[in-house]
Amino acid sequence: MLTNNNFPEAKLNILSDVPQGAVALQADTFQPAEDGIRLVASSCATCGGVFFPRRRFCGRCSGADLTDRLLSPQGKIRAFSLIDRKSGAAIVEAPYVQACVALPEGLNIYTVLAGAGADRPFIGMATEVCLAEVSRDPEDRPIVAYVFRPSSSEETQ
Amino acid sequence: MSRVFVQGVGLHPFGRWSEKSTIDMCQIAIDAALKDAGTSFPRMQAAYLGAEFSGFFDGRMIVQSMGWTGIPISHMQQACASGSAALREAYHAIAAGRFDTVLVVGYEKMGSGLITGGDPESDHEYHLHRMGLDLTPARIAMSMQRRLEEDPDFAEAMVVEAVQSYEYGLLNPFGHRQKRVTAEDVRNSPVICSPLTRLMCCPNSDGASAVILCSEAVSRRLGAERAIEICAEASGSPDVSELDGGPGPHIGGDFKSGNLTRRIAREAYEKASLGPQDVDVVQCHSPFAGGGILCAEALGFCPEGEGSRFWIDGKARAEGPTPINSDGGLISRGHPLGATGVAEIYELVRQLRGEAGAHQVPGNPQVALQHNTGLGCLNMHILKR
Repeated sequence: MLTNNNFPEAKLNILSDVPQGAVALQADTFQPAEDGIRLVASSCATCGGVFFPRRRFCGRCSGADLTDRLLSPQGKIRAFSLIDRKSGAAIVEAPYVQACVALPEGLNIYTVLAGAGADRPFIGMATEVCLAEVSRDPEDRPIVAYVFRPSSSEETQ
Repeated sequence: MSRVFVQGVGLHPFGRWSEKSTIDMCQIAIDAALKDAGTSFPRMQAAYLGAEFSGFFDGRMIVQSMGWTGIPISHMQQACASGSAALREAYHAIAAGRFDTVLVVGYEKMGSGLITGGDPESDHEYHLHRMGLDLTPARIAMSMQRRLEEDPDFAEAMVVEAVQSYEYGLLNPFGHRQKRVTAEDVRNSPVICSPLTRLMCCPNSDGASAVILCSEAVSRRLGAERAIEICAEASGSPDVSELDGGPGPHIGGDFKSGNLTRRIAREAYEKASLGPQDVDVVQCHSPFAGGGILCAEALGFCPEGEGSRFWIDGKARAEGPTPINSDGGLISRGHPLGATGVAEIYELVRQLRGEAGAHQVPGNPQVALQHNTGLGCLNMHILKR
């Protein structure tokens, strides 16, 4: 049973590079970068709105002139919750921590928080996006997805 | 626009009814509403139903199980607000003069476990679903957690709201959870999605609810003395300024800011030419403790930031100035998604008639407000005796 003092470690294999043959859990959510990955958002040429995940139409003005924009890799925890139950379609096993991470662009990203462990998450905690292997496909290729983990970087806004 | 009246209300008790079909439950609620209105099914000119997890046949078979009368049938799916969405459309159909008498039904048979939204096989939101980010209570829990950081009274007020729900639930024979629960029980029950414990969360329930809406002419014929007027309807969904983040639909944002409730409430009060000070009894959508606290502020029953003290000081109690969820609300009554919005109308109509029995609020209430949200969509109705 979870308590407010018992923070679980999401059982995810954090990766430093995109492995050969890896399959993205959801295409177009992230791109490889020299120092890890970057989330891919949509930026509206008409009104300047920025949205994650990518969109076909702008959420603010409904314009269709959207281009990809790579997001800052670091952000701060705005809220988090310890989840005691696995949702029906999830491959992430409970218990785990879900967090809302605020990026400098003004976007909030809902994410699994990996590697929090004994470092109890807190509002304002510096985090960074990283890649995790979350499962294997039927051909035994790694399925990878973005998660966030605590960061010690001073670059966090 | 023509005036619209609730003439009859009916409910099938909320709980776990695995031995019953949705049709079994709905027939009981519909029959009760028809008898309460003093009318019969062949007089219904249209039917509006609301459910989220409805099967291919359900809505049509429910209506046709009452008789093959050839009426138009509309079915609304709006998550937890499906029932009030059906009510909203029925209201407008009568207000516009299209019909004189319509049936509204909300129903649901729930599965087990935490409520999630969507289906990866159809929406292809694989990250959302596979990473477990589609849990409705988790998003709301995070909204509550932010408030906890800012409001030193919020933790106590969440417990007060939950305990009050169980206290009033004991008086409600149609509710799901009928048990005595203390503040210690609430605090010590297992964490589901922190900071929400199990006893702060509504249970998965099965149930059905029905109301009969009428025009003024039909209401007079059936008996105006028991009719309750719907004097305002307002509804909407979040605009871009109210969004909270992605991926996923707008979940939980209004439990953070209350801004959508605030916007829709302004419209409802204006349409009714009433204000929050005029409201005598309230049903607000609070599936998780804390929802009622945010609603007390957003609906204008107390100043911003004072929702916690409002609950702690007993102002949402039956004997308080603005009784909220006098039948226990979602936490103890249960939450069969589509049935909830119509069950709120059931409770408010009985309160305004003075027929609520053991949980009747004192003071001869005259005005009631209903608030029902579903994945960000919000329907609100103001009722007047």
